[in-house]
Amino acid sequence: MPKKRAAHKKSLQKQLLREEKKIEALEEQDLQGLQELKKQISKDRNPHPLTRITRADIIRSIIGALIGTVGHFAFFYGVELADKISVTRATALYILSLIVCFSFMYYSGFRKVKEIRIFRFIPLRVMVVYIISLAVVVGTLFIFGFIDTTSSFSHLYKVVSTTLLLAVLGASTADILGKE
Amino acid sequence: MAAKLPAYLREIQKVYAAIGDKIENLIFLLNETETSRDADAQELAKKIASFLTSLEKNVAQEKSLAQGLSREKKKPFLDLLRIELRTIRELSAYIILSRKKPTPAVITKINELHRAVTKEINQQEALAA
Repeated sequence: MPKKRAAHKKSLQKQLLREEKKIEALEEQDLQGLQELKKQISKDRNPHPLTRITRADIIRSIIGALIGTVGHFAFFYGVELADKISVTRATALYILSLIVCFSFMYYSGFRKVKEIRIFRFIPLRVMVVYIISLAVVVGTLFIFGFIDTTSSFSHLYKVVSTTLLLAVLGASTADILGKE
Repeated sequence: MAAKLPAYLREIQKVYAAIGDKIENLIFLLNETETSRDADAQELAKKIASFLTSLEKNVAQEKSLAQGLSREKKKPFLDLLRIELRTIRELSAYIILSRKKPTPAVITKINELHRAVTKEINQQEALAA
C-alpha cells in the first residue's frame, strides 16, 4: 500500500513538473511575441515628421529672410551698427537670434491645439530656418558689396550678426504664416 | 510565475515606448494645420491602431502572470490592468477616429490617453517589482 502511494505521489509530481514546464514554455512564447512586436515596430520606420522639410518650406524661409533683410534696406543699418559693436555683443546677437527663432516657431505656430508641445520636434526646423537666414544675410551683404572675399572674419562676423535677427524674424514668420 | 512578471512588464514598457514615439509623431502631424501631410497621418494612424491591438493582447496576458503575486499586491495590480486595457482600447478608438476627424478635441484626447497609458504601465511595473 505505501509503495502504491509513493508511486502515485511520484507520478503526480511528474505531472506537476510537466505542467510547470508547459506554462514556462507558454510564458517564454509570450515574451518572445512581445520582443517580435517591438522589432516589428522599430523596423517600421516612418520618416520623422520634421525630416520632411520640403522645397516649399525652404523657399518660404528664403523669401521670409529676404523680406526681413532687404525690406526697408534694413541690412544697411545693420552694417552701420556692426561698426559700433564688439565681438561679444555680436555673439550675443547670434544667440538672441536663435532664441527668437525658437520662440517664434514654438509659441506662435498655428497649431490646432496649442497646449500640446512636443519638444523633440522643434530643433531641426529651427536649425533649418536659422541656417537659411544666415545664408540669405551673407548673400545679400555680398550682392550689395558690404562683404567680399577680402573682408576680415571679425567684420563678417559682426556685420552678419546685426542683420541676422531681422532675417530670422522674417524667415520664421514666413514658416509659420505660409502653412495655411 | 510572479518572477516572470517584472521582466514581462519591462518588455511591455519597451514596446509601448516604441509605439509612444509613433503616437507623438501622429499627434504632431495631426496638430499641424498644414493639410499636405494628411495622408501620412492617416497611414501612421492605421499602423499605430494595429500595433495597439497587438499590444492589448499581450497586456491581457499579464492577468495569468499576476496569479503569483501576493494577495495585497494582486488586487491593485489587476485593477490597474483593467484600467490600462480600457485606456489602450480607448486610445486605439480615438486614433482610428483621428483618420476621419482630426479635430482639436480628438488630438487632445489622444495626447491625454497616451500619457495615461505611459503612467499606468509605470505604476504596474512599480507595483510588481
